[in-house]
Amino acid sequence: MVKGITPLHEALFLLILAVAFFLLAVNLNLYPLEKFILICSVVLIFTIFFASIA
Amino acid sequence: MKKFLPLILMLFLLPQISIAKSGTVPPPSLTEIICEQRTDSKGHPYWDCFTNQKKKIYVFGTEYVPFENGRIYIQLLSKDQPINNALCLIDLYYPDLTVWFDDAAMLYLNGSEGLYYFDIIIPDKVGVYMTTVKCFYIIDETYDYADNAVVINGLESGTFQDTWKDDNEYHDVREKQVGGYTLDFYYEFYNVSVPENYTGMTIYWIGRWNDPEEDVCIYIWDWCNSSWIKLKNCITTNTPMVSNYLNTSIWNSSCLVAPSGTVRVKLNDTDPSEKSYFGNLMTDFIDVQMHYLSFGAIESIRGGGEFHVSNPRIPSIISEMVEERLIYNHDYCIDNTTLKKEVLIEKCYFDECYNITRSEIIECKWGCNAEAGECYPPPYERMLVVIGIIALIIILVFLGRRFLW
Repeated sequence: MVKGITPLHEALFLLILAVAFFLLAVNLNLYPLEKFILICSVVLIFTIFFASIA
Repeated sequence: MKKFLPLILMLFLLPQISIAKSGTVPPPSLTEIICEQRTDSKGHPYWDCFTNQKKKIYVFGTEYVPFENGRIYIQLLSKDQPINNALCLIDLYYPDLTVWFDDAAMLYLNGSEGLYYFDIIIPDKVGVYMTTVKCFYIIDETYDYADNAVVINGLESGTFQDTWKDDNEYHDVREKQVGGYTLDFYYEFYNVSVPENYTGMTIYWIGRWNDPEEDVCIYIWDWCNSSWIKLKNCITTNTPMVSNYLNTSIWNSSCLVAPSGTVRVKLNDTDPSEKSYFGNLMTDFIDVQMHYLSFGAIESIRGGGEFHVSNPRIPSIISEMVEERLIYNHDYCIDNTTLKKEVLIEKCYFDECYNITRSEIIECKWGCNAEAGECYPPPYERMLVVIGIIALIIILVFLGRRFLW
């Protein structure tokens, strides 16, 4: 765990990230399934990232 | 497990956020008629026609520019009293003297004092449009509305019930690709009865047609010969209303109305091989009116007039003085594969302003995005975007991991 960053901070960060990428996906004119894949991938990457630096 | 606590917490918090989505009438022998040209209070010319029996018909037109909504209307008076039970038929001629409308029935303005009107969208042919109107009275009519719609070629949205009222609820039929883009369907009117003292039948159509490349013509089923008969007045992009009067002296009612009382009216595009534009026929109202003489002998009156269409007074040398303002820009999906783009522009030259509406229908090969109001790009393009973004994030995370933590 990086000093000063709690799991709640990380969860909020992931949530903001998911919303931001959802809005980006809407503007990118993607099918719903593609939006879903994009958001899930991003959240998963960052989850793995946080887990690896813990 | 503890490492994935942020993901679990995020999944718990995610449903708490909601994102608001925006949804979405035979001519009898005529009595003597006298016509005088006069001008109204605004200086517009009109013909004042009357008989020695003090019957009067006023035909009004005005000055127009192309693509404006136009209305020709008359006031029918007898001894200065309005006549509200008449059948008025209009003939309209293009500036090149060809016929635009021939014996098209005008609509009576409900509750008015003898007003009858006919709507058009002014064509881009400039010049003088001559018009004549003849009215017969006292005529009453029965009204029959569509009971069924049979689409032979076309893509239908809405139902025949949407044609029962002039209320901007449309029965929409779009051209279908069968070789060329074509449209072919008919309405059935059940239990139509031929009244006593029957004088003729009128088929009224109100709606919009958006393909300037071709017209849509109206046909009626001939039960005697089992064939479709083409009627004189067709639907164009400049006709928000079309009517065809079928006089009993020419048209045998027993051939137009089946013994069971069924009348069939077909709408068919004029060029089935045309492949440049997917036309859309929006029918707001259609009915079959059976006219009959309700009181004594038939009376008639005739009159004439004109309206003038000219180009807007915008000399090209000072075209930069024209102020152009976008009023409305709306792109939306009609269905899963069709996008409609609408633009309304106001153009002003000094204190003279006019609105221009442009609309375009686009076929979306990969589907229409109702949320964004645009066509989806091809699948490979979309996947490239998704993979590109994911790759970029992986690289950023990798670099962050290497150099920051």
